[in-house]
Amino acid sequence: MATETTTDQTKRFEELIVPEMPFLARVARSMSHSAAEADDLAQDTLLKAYRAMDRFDGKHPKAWLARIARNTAINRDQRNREFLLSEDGIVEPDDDGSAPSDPEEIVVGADVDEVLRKGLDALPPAFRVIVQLVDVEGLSYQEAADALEIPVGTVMSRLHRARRRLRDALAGTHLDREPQT
Amino acid sequence: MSFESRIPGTRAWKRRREGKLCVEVVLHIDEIVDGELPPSRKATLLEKHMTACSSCRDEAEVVLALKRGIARVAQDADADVLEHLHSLARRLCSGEHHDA
Repeated sequence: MATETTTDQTKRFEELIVPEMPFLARVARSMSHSAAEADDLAQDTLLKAYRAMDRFDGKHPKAWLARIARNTAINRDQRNREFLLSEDGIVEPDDDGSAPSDPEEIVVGADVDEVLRKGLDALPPAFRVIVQLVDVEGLSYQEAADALEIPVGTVMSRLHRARRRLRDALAGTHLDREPQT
Repeated sequence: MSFESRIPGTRAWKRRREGKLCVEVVLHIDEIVDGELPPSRKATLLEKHMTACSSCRDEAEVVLALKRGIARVAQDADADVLEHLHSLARRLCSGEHHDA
């Protein structure tokens, strides 16, 4: 009986979770301060997902994995708790829609994608994970809110502020330029 | 605000109304671009306004381009992290891991 349960658990894990491992790797990175931290977080999340397969209803595996990752991250240490649960300590630039004082200095000669990568890396995880879930993974505001266990209004405000920061970083570049091949 | 702009139907009134809609578009630009603005009279008004207002369309294009750029640079999973996940999944599914 126990073997049967384990086999079923493994089968569901292979069907529902294994295909989402690239998603898990990306989301773990967005919640982390470093690649090494992301590696640990992704593996811990996968292990917890395997253990909890019998309690997973099979719906929305991405949101389920993101929720496990988020809870794992905030339980890991105080620093993650602060960054993922609150916005304390996050220094906001003036959000008046104006460009930085000298945007040319920031982006002259820089590749748009490189500026974007740096801009994303510079975002606090509380913001970066929402950009990742909405803009990269295609989750709706409600799905992102459910995954992170925060209000939809918080998703909207963090997404707006994150995009504003990225736009400021990109001021002076051709934002809509096609990627170089 | 001029007296004329308070009289419905006058050019000044229309300009003032369109200006207010521009502000609304900027306020809701993320929801508009993400397709998250719930159907409503306001949503219809903003949609209609955007077909006629090039600066609002430009604003939407910038946000859309930003979304495309983010998706472009953040879509690849870290190869090492992914390999470690595959390795762990193999061990779990084969029963080699003590949790399996």
